[in-house]
Amino acid sequence: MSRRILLLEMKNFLSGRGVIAGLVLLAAAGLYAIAQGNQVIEQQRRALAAAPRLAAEHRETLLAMHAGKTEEGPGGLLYYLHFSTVREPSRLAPLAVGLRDLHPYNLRVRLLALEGQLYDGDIANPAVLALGNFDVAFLLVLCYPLLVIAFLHNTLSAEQESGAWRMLCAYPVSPWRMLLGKALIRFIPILAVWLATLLAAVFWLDLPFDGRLLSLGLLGLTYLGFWFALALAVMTTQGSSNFNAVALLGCWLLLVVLAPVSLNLALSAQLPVPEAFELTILQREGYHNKWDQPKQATMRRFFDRYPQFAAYPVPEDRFTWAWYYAMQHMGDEEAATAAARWKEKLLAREQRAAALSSFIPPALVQSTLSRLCGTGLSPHIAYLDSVRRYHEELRLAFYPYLFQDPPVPPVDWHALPRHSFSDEEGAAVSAASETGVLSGAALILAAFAVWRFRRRSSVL
Amino acid sequence: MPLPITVATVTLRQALRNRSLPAACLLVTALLALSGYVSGRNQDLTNRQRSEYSEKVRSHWLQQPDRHPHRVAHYGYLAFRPKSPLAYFDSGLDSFGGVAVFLEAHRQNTTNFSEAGQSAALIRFGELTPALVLQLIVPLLLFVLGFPVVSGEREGGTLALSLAQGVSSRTLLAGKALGLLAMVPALLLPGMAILLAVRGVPDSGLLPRILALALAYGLYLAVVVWIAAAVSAASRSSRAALTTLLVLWVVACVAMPRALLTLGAARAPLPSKAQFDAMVDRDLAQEGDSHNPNDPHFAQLRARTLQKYGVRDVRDLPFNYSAFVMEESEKITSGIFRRHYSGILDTFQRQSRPLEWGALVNPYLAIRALSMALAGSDLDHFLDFQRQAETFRYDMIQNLNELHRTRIRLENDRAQKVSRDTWGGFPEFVYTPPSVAEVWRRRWTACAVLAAWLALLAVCTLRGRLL
Repeated sequence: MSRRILLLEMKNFLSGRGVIAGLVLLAAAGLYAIAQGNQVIEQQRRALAAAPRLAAEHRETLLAMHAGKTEEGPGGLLYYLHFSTVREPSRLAPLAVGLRDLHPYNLRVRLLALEGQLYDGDIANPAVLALGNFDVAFLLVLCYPLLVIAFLHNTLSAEQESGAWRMLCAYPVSPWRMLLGKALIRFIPILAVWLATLLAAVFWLDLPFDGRLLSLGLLGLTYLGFWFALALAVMTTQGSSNFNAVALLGCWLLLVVLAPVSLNLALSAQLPVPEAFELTILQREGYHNKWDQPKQATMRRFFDRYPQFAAYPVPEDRFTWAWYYAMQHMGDEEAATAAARWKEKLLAREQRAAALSSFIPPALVQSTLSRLCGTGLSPHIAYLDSVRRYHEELRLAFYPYLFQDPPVPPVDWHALPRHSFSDEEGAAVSAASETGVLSGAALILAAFAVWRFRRRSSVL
Repeated sequence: MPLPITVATVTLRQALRNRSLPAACLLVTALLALSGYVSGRNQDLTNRQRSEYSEKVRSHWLQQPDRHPHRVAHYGYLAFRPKSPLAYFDSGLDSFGGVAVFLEAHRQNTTNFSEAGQSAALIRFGELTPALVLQLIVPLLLFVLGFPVVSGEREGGTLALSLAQGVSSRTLLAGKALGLLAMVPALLLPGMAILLAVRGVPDSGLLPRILALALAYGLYLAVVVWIAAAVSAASRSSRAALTTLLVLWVVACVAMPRALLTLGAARAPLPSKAQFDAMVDRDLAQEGDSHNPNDPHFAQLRARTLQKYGVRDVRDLPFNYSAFVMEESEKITSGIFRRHYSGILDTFQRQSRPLEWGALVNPYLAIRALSMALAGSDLDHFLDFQRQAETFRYDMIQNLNELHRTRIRLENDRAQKVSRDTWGGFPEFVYTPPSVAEVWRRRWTACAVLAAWLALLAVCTLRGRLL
């Protein structure tokens, strides 16, 4: 197709009613999405930044309250003392908040049974959580396809309806190339807005130009390419503009709404998690029953687990903090199997969702974005595991003070182990296979469109 | 036959003839049946589990041996939030609220294990329920069925013909709207019948809620239909009508809800749990430390109590003074927590405000709020559960403190126990949802908005403003 026609075509398209408005709206929505995602993550970052100060204040207050009771050891104070843990967001998290707002990011744990503390949530409004974020992922997955549909559905049919198509066919250019050129002219501005949105995010959020960002951008382009190919496939069925619009919107409804929500419902029905309640009950019973049992029974099992303290038996006839914290831990041990099963169940939910999502491009993109940004379910699980390890580290640091008699030198409250965890390390670095699956789907649709169009044109 | 009815019949017949109505009906029926069946089964399973664990908690409670009351106060209770019987119809924000809360002395714990918190990233797409079909998909189908009702006639030239024959424009539009409206029951009734067959006849106690839901959805879909007819009448071509309607749908149902709520959430930020706890701790520290013998608040309490009973030492009091102090401090800590938590609840409300304002202009937002309130799956119901659980906790702990005060002597306090038959006297936790009248009192405005929409459209039609 000659350059002159292309230019004319572009001018013609851009001067169409609502085209510029649609693009501007999409770009503006992109800026709002960046701001919104950033707002959610920034609020978490601020809370995390304040966490060490709050923890120090809390510790100093307790130390002041317990100042006169150093001779009884740290047991009493440890009952009240919270240790702060942090789940730092990845740098890309504002682009796809994913599940990060659903999960705690600043759990504070005491030296008591961990299973009773590990699943506490942060303060959140369920109404806000239920509607979800207006982040870049939402915009890409749900809204961009709508603009692709709006711009492309009548690429061919409008020309046929106005009679211009026959005239265009008189040019010495293959009709397919003509159609492709026209479709691309409508499609490229949308791609440009996507890239511009990402670029804006890079400058606004000061993101690094790395493989992850590149993968994210490419994934978006491929996803839009999928919708482009779908639009081609539908338009070459040679239906009317109205038919194409309705058919494409039907595809959108199926792929973006019905299929993912059905999949989600099926997964939660297929893999229920009663283990959550099970482990809570086991931990509670496991700990509290120990109060009604002889101390030695508890201690025997505790010393099996931590033989290094077996040299310091606890007396049967009076309360000791060593026994108290041993009971707490044995409660955890009794819930350990259920807790492990809970974790496996959740990871299975995520794996199965990812596997089935391969057949639903929007779900695939949503879950891949979450993986790239470290905002899915598995980073949450990894964080909980890191809290578990930290809790053990703390316990092992404090047990000597509780068990040994005469006591070891006083605790240095300012040199205790610290917890650190970031989503950055767990986040996927590339999305090659997902992008491959998407482009495969796009190519199949495009090939179908070519075949269909050629066959129809030869009939015409 | 009155003229509008004739027009309506013709419209209906046309939709039947070109098979768009049967196709749409098939789709809606399948979706309603599928969503109702799967979501309902899921709900039955979930509720069975929750009640199973509630019973387990209760039987463990009753099987406790002789124990010291304060020991039991720390053993506490686990309360589970049941799904409302209609949550399968509209899950609202049910999956995003916690389910289990541990109730113990001195502390108000968070409600944990929300379904969403244990789900893969897919949960962000929403949940398949009959409400989703009725709120989003049926309106879209009605727009698709309705866009050519007037504009198509205009393009075909029959509109001018009808008007020339003396059919007034308002009669025509009213007839078209009625014809479209008649499609609504045709679309919904088969699916609803299957739903009824699958789920069985609902409990008669639910009837007021179901009737209110029927009224709300009737109003909503009537508004949707009328908007479709009005847009069709106001558009120059069918294409323009379709475009306008689809843009309206996308804005009202996809973009606007999230945009408004995220705006509200950004304007009224919540503190983190750590910040919240720090605020509560600060107030608690000011109120006094019950463990510190020199604390002014509790020293004063002791002096007052000693004076009241005319004794010189707490050991001479006719009750266990340490339990008395515990009772007092539970009262104080609960009061402080409640005060701070009401600040959080205020923030929740401020976050939702833009969405509530949006419901005045967006019928989708109005039906969304109304439907989940009537289905018992909105924020009010969730907070209601939390409130009932906290009340249960407070009463249980204070009852245990009373046992401690009256049945345990101060001397050698920790070594004493109360008998195991005491535990049966404590009630079981049972969540009672608010009455439909209560829901209606909170949410009638949403219904009024829908009715106002319908009235506005009807008036405009009759005044001939739309065509």
